[in-house]
Amino acid sequence: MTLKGQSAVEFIMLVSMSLFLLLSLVTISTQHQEQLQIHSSLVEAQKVAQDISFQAEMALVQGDYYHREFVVPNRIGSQNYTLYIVPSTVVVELERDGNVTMPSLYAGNTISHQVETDQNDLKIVHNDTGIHLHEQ
Amino acid sequence: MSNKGQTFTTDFMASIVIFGFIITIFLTMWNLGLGTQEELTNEEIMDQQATRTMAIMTTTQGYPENWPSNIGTREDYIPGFMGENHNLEQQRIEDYGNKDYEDKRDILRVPEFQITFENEEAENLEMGREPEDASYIIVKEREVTIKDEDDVQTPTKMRYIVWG
Repeated sequence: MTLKGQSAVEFIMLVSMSLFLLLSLVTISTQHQEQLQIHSSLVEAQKVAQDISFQAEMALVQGDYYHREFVVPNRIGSQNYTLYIVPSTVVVELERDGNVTMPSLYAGNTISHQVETDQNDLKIVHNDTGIHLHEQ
Repeated sequence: MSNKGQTFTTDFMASIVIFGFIITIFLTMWNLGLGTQEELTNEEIMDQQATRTMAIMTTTQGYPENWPSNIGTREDYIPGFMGENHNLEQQRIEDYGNKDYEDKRDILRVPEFQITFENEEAENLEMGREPEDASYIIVKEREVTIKDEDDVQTPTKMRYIVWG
């Protein structure tokens, strides 16, 4: 009676192959998505670093009593982040995906600021004690 | 009567090939769509930095106020040539030009640079080096007015070149 079971065996083989292919596809796709998310976070962090660099440079050259309000993203790629502004460099430190460093003309005091969720309206101020960055 | 089922037939193999082809096309298109947001290249970062530097040089007095005549490390300066009435001050430009190439370069935070000022009287001023062995060259130009010590104003084309 071996002839009767042949289709069932082939069917099981087919289903197994299909499941294997599907699993491979999902695994590759998930890995690719994760890479894209990291990539997207780093691109956004670069843009934030460029913006912060410009704000810090302008605050410094415009002199005392300068202040300007601006908005940064709440989170970058669904993660919190910290800004470091040091002479010649701006660093955006992401909670999970590492750091992005951007060259800058900034030549003032070192500033660090952790961006809190829902407190992304920032104000940069130049006063007697230097450049300061804080929430509005 | 065949002792095989009807699953692994030529039709089935053909359908697998067609399915594989379609899924490959789909994934390729999907990746292309998602992958368009590229990270900034070194050239793009340098280009944006050059745009900001040019803007700061031509629209601000720099930092500190008397920066070109100061002595300090590169991290103490932001270069700005603007004086009163939004004109560039010739004295600031000359003070900067009198510095060593390395100092001038370090103040701009670039690996190599050239700044030229050209006016209609052909009284041109050139700082820095000619671009060579460059894989990319970034050029920023602005029409500016330079005011000298006698308050004579000269329309000038300022060109800032960096490369990497």
